[in-house]
Amino acid sequence: MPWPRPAPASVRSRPVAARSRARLALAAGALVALAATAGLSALGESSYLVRDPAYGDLESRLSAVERTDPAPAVFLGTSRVNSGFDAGRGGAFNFGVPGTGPVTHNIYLRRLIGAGHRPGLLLVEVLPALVADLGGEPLEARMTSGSRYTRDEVDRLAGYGVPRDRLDSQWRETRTVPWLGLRFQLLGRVAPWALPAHLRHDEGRSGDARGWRRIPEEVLTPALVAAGRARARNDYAEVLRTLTPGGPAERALRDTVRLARGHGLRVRLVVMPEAAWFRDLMPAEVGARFDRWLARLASEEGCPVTDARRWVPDAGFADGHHLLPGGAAAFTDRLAAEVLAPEGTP
Amino acid sequence: MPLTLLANALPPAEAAALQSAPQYFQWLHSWLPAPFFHTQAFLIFFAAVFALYWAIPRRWPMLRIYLLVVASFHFYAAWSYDLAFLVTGTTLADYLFGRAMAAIKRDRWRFAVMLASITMNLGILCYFKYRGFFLNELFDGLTRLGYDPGYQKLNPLALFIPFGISFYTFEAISYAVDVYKRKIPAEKSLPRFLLFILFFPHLVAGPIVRAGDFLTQTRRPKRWNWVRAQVGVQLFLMGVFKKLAIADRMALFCDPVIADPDKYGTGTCWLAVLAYAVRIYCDFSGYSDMALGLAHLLGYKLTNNFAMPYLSANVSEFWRRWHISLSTWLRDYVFIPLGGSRGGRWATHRNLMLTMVLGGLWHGAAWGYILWGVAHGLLLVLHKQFKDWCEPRPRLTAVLESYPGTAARVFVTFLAVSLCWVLFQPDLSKALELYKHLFSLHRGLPLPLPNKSLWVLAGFVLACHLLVRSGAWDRIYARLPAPVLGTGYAVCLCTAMLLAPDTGTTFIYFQF
Repeated sequence: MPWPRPAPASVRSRPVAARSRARLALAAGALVALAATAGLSALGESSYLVRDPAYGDLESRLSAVERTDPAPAVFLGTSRVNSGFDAGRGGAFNFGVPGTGPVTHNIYLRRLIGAGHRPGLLLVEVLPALVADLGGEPLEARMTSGSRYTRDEVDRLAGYGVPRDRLDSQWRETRTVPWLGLRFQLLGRVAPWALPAHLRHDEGRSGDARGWRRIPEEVLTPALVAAGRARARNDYAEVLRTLTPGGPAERALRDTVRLARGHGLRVRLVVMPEAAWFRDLMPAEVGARFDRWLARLASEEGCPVTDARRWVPDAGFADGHHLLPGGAAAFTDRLAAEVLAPEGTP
Repeated sequence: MPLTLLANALPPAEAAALQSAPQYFQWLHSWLPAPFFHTQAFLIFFAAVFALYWAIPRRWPMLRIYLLVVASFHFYAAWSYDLAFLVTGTTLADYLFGRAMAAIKRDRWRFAVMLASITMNLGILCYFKYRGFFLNELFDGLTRLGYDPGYQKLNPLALFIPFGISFYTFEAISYAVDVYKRKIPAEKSLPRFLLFILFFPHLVAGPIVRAGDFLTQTRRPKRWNWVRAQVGVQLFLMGVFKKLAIADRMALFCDPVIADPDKYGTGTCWLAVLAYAVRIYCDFSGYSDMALGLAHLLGYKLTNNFAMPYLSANVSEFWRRWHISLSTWLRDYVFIPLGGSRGGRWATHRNLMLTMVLGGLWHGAAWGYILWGVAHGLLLVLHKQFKDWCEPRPRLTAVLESYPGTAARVFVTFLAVSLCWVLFQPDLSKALELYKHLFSLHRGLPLPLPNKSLWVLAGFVLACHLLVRSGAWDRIYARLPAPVLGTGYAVCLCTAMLLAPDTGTTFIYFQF
């Protein structure tokens, strides 16, 4: 028995069928595109895992750690902390996110407190170049994208001098064309190999269970080390040469300390280790000015400071300011002995 | 709401000129800063034109044409108002030349008018596009011989090159020749003629339309047609996908290597050549698809410019499938008038070489493009010789035409074409450096992204080609329920945006 076939369409009905198929396809396409856009926009607004994966992944890991250790010490910082603090050794949690600074740390602390996290001790990194008063926007603004923040957070960032126009434009793009505005966040999760390392947003999930991301020293060739040092010099030399701490970055740092205090958290400021040649990028008089500023900040905010800049010998660094695993172990052990243990954490 | 996909598209010379533009054009530029179809600014512009166009009642067809002319002028003027007046002025002159040819009876005078039209168009093209190249080459030559040239070398960045000048110049020339040869009547309606040259979907990077095709369409009543709209949307989305998801991503692999081949190893250089071949194809065919799609949405059909050229089994076939509107133009207005293949073997070879060198020069005023034309001319000559040699050898021909033989020919053709693409850049020294690294073992940096990313994209392009070539796509397409098809459009759009790199590139062919 032959397979039943549909009756052939009449010559007249064909164009009609084609027209209705075209109309339906276009309508369905428009509806699905609108629904997908609205859906992703809503998802981005509601979930840090979509909007700001570096933060979202770390926050998920912190929650997991808190199931066994309800109030670990949390170290809020930049890529220096991310690679330099082996939190597992210190029984703490590494909340270091590359491309951040005092302003972002303020936002992150607000999010953490809002989500119910109450660290036993909050360590906040002070990266000298990032607290420079540049007379306008903070240095960190160059690395800040409005796509990672909520509307309220964008307003807060703008309050700290991050250019509002750029933030607004990136924020709007993320909400209205989220498939474009959130593309690196999404692609970094499903196909990280399709993106260059700095666009993958995978800092929060590529480390260990306590957030530490070791630098794979086995792949570091002399050429890569030299390139890293050159990049570090290029990024920081000019700012450090004339560094005057203050401005919106200082304000953000003070607000972070006060916010933590306001929620009953113990806070300590930490300056991460630096290689000798990197420390020398800051002339002596500038170094003295920074030290005075740090001491004044500590006394005015009533907040202890740990200056670990000289804690690790030069061999412990990949590029002069990011620690290799050996350097990270040395730093973490000393921090645990001198800071975490006396403070009662872990 | 800017799309953060494109680097500043305005060259320094034009950016400086914009500062002195009248307020209206500066305002226009702020709304439509780049004439690229995949930017939000353009999509808003197009949506406005589209809505107005179809809102005009069908009984006023001329009003629709006026709208498109005005929109096209503004599209160009947003980028450069003075050059928009120049293009409009030359179009007006071409219209008058056409009317003059229609009015004159004597062939000698008609020929003179056609010559005047061609001279004007080529003169403007040479002035804007080739002046810098020729004067700088003359400067170098005279200096090498010890003479004082008496002028300074021109800075290429300081020269104005109107977008799409090569495209609309060829359109105007073909119109003058066709009117002279009485293949088509001279257009009486100025708005229709202005639309033929200025129609914004094809104005800046083709396809090169023929007056006979386009002007006829301006006379047909335009009715809204859902099937046509679907074709238009489909083509546009396909173009956007090719541009954002493939061409711009391929640029991440090939651009750093082409800019500084010395840093990279031999294997990396070969991968970059592959990436560059895919990039050029997806960039230009993506633009063409967008242009065709936009035209369809306004009720016009432009010439299809590509027919899966990388599946060609020889170079002659490649040129029948690549940039079809240019290759047919060169065939009809250069190769055949030169004598075509009517004058024996050597004359044919000469005509092929001349046509391809002119094709190379059309692309750009630089030795790289000229040598690219020479290389393709030689490949065409070699292919013709090989074909003649194979003709009395039926067994060899049968082997070559078998499946494995065809696959091998496609591979060799793709390899030859890809190696020619290395020359397709303004800096010849970089091209030669890249050739050196391709054919000598050299260690260096890997690609900026994992190789997997390149293979996945190249494999996807190949799979799409095979799906279409085998006819499977047509069968699947015909059976797809409309909602699934519509979902496919949405997926295509979202994926294109998802895969767009952080900084997009301008279209390669916009510089021509």
